[in-house]
Formats: sequence, C-alpha cells, structure tokens
Amino acid sequence: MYSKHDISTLKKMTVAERKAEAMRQLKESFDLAERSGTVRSREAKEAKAG
Amino acid sequence: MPTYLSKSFLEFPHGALTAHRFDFRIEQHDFVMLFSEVIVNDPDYHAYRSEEVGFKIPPACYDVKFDRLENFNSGNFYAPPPAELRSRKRRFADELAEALETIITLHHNAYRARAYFAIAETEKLKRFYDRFLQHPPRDVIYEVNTAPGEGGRGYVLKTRYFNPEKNDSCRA
Repeated sequence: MYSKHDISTLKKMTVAERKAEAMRQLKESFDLAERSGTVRSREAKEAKAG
Repeated sequence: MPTYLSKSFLEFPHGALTAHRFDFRIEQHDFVMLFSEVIVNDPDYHAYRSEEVGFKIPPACYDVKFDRLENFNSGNFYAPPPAELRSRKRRFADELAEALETIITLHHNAYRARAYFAIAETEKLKRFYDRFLQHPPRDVIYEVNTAPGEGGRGYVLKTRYFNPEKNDSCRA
C-alpha cells in the first residue's frame, strides 16, 4: 500500500524522476525474481487474422 | 528492421502484481520494454492515478516503459547513448515505432490489456510519441488521449478491451 506520504512524494517528482524511480523499482523486482527463480514466461503470439 | 530478442514475455513479481518484460534490438541498440499493471486496490494510489488520466482506472491497465538495455542493466536509466552511437536517421525512429507497435500488439493479445499509459520525459520523446500515435494500430488501440495530469506529456492508449461495446465502432 502507498501511504499518503508516498503519494505526496510522487506528486513532487518531475516526470523524469518518476520514470527513473519506476524503472529502478522494476529492475529491483526483476533482479530479485531472477535470483529467486520466480521469472515465468508467456508466449507472445500474433493475433490470427480474420 | 527491428529484431525481437524475446519470443515470450518474461513475467516477474512486482509488488503485489506481476510485471512483464520483452527485449528487442534496433541496429546495434538493445532495448528492454516493461509493462507494469496499475495498482487499483490501493484507494489513495488509485485515486491519484485516476485523477491524472481523467477517468477511474479499471484493472488490467498498464504503465509501459522502454529504455536501452545498457541503461537498465547499469541502473543509469534513460541516459542517452554515447554521441558516436546516436542515430539521427529517420529510419531509426520508424523502426523504433514499429517495434513498440508490434510489442504492444503482442502484449495486448497475451494479456487483454484495457489501456496503456506512457509518459514522454523529454520534448524529443514527446515529438516521437506524437508522430507515432497519429497512426496507432486501429485493431488494437481505439482511442489515444493525452493525460491531463502529466503536463501534456502523458499518453493514454485505450484498447478494444477497455470498453467492449465500442469495439464494433472502432473497427469501422
């Protein structure tokens, strides 16, 4: 859960700061998942025409 | 022509939800594209995000981001490439647009996303998005808006799953 403080902090960030922070969190999650073996995959398929 | 380095979306836990990763290459540049579902079960955060985009965000809406793989691996996010590797060619931008469109389409097919949210942090990226989104893939994206809360730099791409009753009209 985000606290009111977290949201207040987000609102004060510039667009670039927010994007970089979001990317940092995503990398942290991905690295943790790689280390813990919790990365899964789902096939990427084109939709069939018609 | 873009090279799609991933054949599948990599899924990984991200907070209480799952995020998705897909890698691609244009010329000598490797990129990573990431999709993270917007949290809708946290009332304060949900209200904040909904206010930004101008509607109550339903489940299955995703923030979408991409960066050079080198930046992602180093943690130096959104850093420009070295001057000698920068491409000013129109073709590079066209291929980047093609890759983004293809991967968003694949993601939409796999996860039935209702909307995608993106932010252009620079004027250059905003010009790129504005040009790219003049002709979005209409079988996937039926409405493109700027997000009122992002200083005109945020984008909302609603898909055919956002509002099913509009599907038929958007395909016309």
